[in-house]
Amino acid sequence: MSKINAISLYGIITRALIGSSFFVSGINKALASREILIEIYTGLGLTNFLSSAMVYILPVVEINLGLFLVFGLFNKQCSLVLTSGLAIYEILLLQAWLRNVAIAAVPLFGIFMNEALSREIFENVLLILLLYPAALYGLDFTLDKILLSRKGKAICK
Amino acid sequence: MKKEEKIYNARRIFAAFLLILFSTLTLVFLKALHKGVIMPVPSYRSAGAAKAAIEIYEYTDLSCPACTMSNELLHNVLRVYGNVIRLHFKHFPLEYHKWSKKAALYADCAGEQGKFFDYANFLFRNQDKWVGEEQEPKIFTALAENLGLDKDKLNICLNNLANTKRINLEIAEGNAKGLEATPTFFVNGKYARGPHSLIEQLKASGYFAKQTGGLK
Repeated sequence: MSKINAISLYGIITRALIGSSFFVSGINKALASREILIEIYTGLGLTNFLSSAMVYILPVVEINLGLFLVFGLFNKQCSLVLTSGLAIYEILLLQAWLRNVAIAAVPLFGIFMNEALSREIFENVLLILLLYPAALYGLDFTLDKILLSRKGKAICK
Repeated sequence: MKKEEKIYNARRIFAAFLLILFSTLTLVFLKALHKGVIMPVPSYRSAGAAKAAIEIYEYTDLSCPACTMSNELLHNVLRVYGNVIRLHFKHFPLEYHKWSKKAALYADCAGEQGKFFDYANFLFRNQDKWVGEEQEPKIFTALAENLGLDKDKLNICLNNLANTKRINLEIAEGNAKGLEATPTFFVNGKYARGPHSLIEQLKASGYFAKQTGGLK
């Protein structure tokens, strides 16, 4: 196994932090009521159909990809999917900001927030910026790497 | 695709399956504990200390007799331990109580004029006078007049769809948390169903043992 230097340690930490924040956020969404989430998504400007679809898809994606990111499974693919998702969400938030719409959010911890637009925009940018080092440098201690290193052993049998 | 690659991918997919299984089990476990995000209540529906050691969310139905009991109990507890408890009142009108939702709406509108607890407590104590009514109970407007509420403001509030929607979202929140009956409480996030369970949770919080007398 390669030596862990400061950069890869930083990558591992960001990977774990972002992954767990997605995991918790997904859990919160999965436990929240569908009606409240639909209210939030339609508030962002999505159609009723898309909002209803998001209610089912988003928690599953956030929980599982968050968990994959923590364990480093399909690390690069997960980072790419999550970054794309965040970028789309950021666009939705920005157009809501331009239209001066109040946005509610289901936060990571604690209580539901009613006016969370600026906080969400800031958090999103931060997450996108952090996902890059997580994908690029957080490659040590990943399941991807561990499973790859065991490959030879299995083939020899 | 090479054989090694196939095995490597199969292993990754198996690991992914295990992680998905883990997340599903976590979700089922949390659901069983009635966990979930709580929407804030309007400030007029909260009572007690602003920064309290014990935060109670009460999901209640103005037509339910057991809720009257627990409401009395909670207000007595608040009178003594108001400095350490914060109570948040959540509407959870049950479908088969004909006037519960309407009563909740009236109470909220009274709340907008600073009389939420006066209005709700009166409705609790006088359930026999309105719960079984066929037509909309006259007590709703009579009580508003008795409490000196501004009629125009009250009507505007009653016709405001946002207020009805808030109550509907609270019902949806309760359903998502798996609530089946009223009253149900969350004492610092811990589930308690019924007044006895509430007392047990309050005792379990350990705070009251330190107070003089404690909770009997």
